[in-house]
Amino acid sequence: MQMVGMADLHTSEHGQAREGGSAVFVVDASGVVRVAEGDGLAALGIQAGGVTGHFASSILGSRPRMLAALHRVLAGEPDRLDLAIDHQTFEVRFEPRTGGGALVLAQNVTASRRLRLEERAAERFLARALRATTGAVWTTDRELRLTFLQGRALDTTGVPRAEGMTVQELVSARDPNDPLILRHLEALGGTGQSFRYPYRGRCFEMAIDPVRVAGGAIRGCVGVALDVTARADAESCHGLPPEAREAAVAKETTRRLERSLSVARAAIDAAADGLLVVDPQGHIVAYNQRFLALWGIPRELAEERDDTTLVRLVHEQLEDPQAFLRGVRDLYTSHDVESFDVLRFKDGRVFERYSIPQKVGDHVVGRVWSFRDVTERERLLHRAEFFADATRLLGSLDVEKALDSVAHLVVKSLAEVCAVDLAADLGVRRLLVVSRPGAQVKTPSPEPQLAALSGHPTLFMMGDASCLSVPLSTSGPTIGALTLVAPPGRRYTSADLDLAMELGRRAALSLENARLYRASQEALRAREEFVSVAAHEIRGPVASMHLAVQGLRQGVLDGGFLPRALDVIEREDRRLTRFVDELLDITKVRAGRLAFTFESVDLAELVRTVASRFTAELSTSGSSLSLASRGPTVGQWDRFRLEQVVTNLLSNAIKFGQGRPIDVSVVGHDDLTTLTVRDRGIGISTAMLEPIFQPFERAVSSRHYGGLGLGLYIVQAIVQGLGGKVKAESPTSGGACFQVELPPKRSAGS
Amino acid sequence: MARRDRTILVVDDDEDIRETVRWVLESSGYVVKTAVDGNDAWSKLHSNGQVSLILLDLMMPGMDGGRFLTLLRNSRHDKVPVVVMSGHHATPETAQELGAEGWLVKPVELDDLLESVRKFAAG
Repeated sequence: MQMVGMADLHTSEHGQAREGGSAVFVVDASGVVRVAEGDGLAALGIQAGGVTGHFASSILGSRPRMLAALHRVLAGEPDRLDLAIDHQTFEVRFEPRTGGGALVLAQNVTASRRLRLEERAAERFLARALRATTGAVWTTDRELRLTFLQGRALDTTGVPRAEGMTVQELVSARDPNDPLILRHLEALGGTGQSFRYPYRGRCFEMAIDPVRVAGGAIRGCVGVALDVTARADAESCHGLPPEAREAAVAKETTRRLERSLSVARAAIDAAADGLLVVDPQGHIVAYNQRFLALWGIPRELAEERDDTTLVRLVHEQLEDPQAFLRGVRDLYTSHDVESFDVLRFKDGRVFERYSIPQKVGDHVVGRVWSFRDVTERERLLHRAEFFADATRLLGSLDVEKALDSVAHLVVKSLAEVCAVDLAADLGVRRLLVVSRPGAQVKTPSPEPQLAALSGHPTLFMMGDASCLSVPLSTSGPTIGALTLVAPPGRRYTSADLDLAMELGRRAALSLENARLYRASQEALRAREEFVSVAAHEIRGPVASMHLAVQGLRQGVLDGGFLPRALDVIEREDRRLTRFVDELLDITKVRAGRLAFTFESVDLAELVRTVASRFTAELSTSGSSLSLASRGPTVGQWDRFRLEQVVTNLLSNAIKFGQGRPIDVSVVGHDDLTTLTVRDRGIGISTAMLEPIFQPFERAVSSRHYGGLGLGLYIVQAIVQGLGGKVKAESPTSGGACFQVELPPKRSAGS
Repeated sequence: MARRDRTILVVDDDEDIRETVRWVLESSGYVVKTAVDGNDAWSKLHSNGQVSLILLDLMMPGMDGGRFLTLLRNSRHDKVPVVVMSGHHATPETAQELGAEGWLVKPVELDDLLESVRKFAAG
């Protein structure tokens, strides 16, 4: 491409010589052409000799820009125009003449203009090419002003790229005898020069030559520089005597080696891993501080440079020292292999060990060992895996089975023995103990678990065995304790305690979830049973009324049945009303809106009234009822609500009394009145004595006994609302005994 | 066989039910005996000779309907037809499980009651 550019240049120069073409007009002050000469007249469309004595305006009529310029110059204002005529370019200058008139000079510049454009294109191409070279190329004019400068050397030397800069300004010393300036001057004198020139820390091979225009005149310089710094460095020793050269080479080599060594040593010391380099005979060649720290090796011992001593010191720290030694021996016999293994320490630390052969060329000259302490990483990984397993196991709703599985998991990885204890009414109930096969450790004594049961995690020793005990608790009360006995030789740390506490929290959460699940299932079952029993309770009375009404209406029953049918309807109506009241009361109790109207009530009298309403039921059931009262039995109570209490208790006594005698007593004291209803029927199991007061609870199956299971719940709510309390007992002689204690006067708070 | 020869045993802990059923069945010509639970029914069955049909409630104190029916089916009275009459929502299923001849869900339509008795007490 560059050659093509040069060829074009020559063609243009020939073109300019061939085309030539210039013309001169002299116009007087009145605008008349006095002289018209030159070979360029024809190109301008003017006949030579035919215009002298004519007004220039008539000749230049077809050239309005020239005419305008002529008028300006005749008015004393010089001008210059570029005219394009038939693909040729003329530069026309208008200059005023002394004493009036004007001189018009027209020059055909077509070829020179094209040449300038081509030069610029060539320069742009050159600039692009030079950006990739390590050197530089420049041109100057005769004043050594840089007309072109390009190349990567500008970047490596940091030469500024100011326009119009001179070669002298490139030379920082401004020394007129600087070789760069002298060579440029010689080139201007016609002599090209090649020379080596150090410049701004680099070394350049330079060639500076003259640039000639057509005709051989020198119009400036062209320079080429190549960066030869590397070669120059290598050659710098040439020219010295052999001994001196050898010494210089050795010195330089030593200097470079020292530098490399310092880099290597810094890299080893900066490494986060412990590094050890040994030769094939097991002598220590190098190590870093991290290596000594990881293994707890005194520096003096490392300085002995004997691998055997080190191995002896460290291998006792390991869980499996024999495997460690075997690994080391194997690698000393197989020099050319890489190795990777994991070292487990008795104190729980874990190292990754990696080794590669150290080679010079293909020859193995030693081995580089790298040790990385991955204890924390392993611990976190193990912890994550452990909790993933534990959480999965604890997801079961069969909590005892889940806890047993978790205890096995604990024993597998953490403990010799794992015990789970639950808080019970009378201290602690051991739920389970899991031990490793063949474990010789005893089960821990109860004291630490009691500490854990009160919410305090404990690390303790049991003989030689390290133990820990943590509470099973979430945010609520502690529900149990998890106790671990460490495997022989292991000492539990606070990290182990943290892990066990987290496990305790998760186990407690699981227990709590299972409890809530059971409770929700139980509530669901109780509600289903409630709906079923409620349907039964409604359908019974409705069935009686239905049959009575249909019997009469259809004439199956004659008119004589009417009074009895009305009795049935009235009775069943009362039953249904009572039932609905009970349901409404439940809603009120639950919303805390059970209202009381206090008045003076004689409890013994009230019991007698209510009992009288049960005459029919008593007769049907076969039970007899005795009523006794003693002491003052009048108090400030709600009569209607108290009737509900007595009705419920009597109704239950008859219902569950199995036809046996029922005793009711009211005993009054100054500060307390006690109502006791005692039957000798089916009784209440001890386990049900408290739950029987909960809604939907019943001591017997609803299959056998109807009723919503809400009666005693309402009784308790009323009694508590009156400031008293109610309890159920199951006397050893059989039956059930309900005791209601009421304060006769309203307390301030009630 | 005349209805006067047919004895219906009504077993229910609800006295009003026992009575209203007795009224309509006696008015329709049947002999009616009543019992308050399974135990009572068992003794009535043994002391009252031939019983043509038992109308049996399920939820009763003492011996409930289910237990009574199981005993009945394993006794010499195993051929006595039984119609379960209960307000329990699962009366049909329970009656079939227990091997009862029929069932009536309370509140019972008079026509249904008489039809069941006619059908199963036919002898």
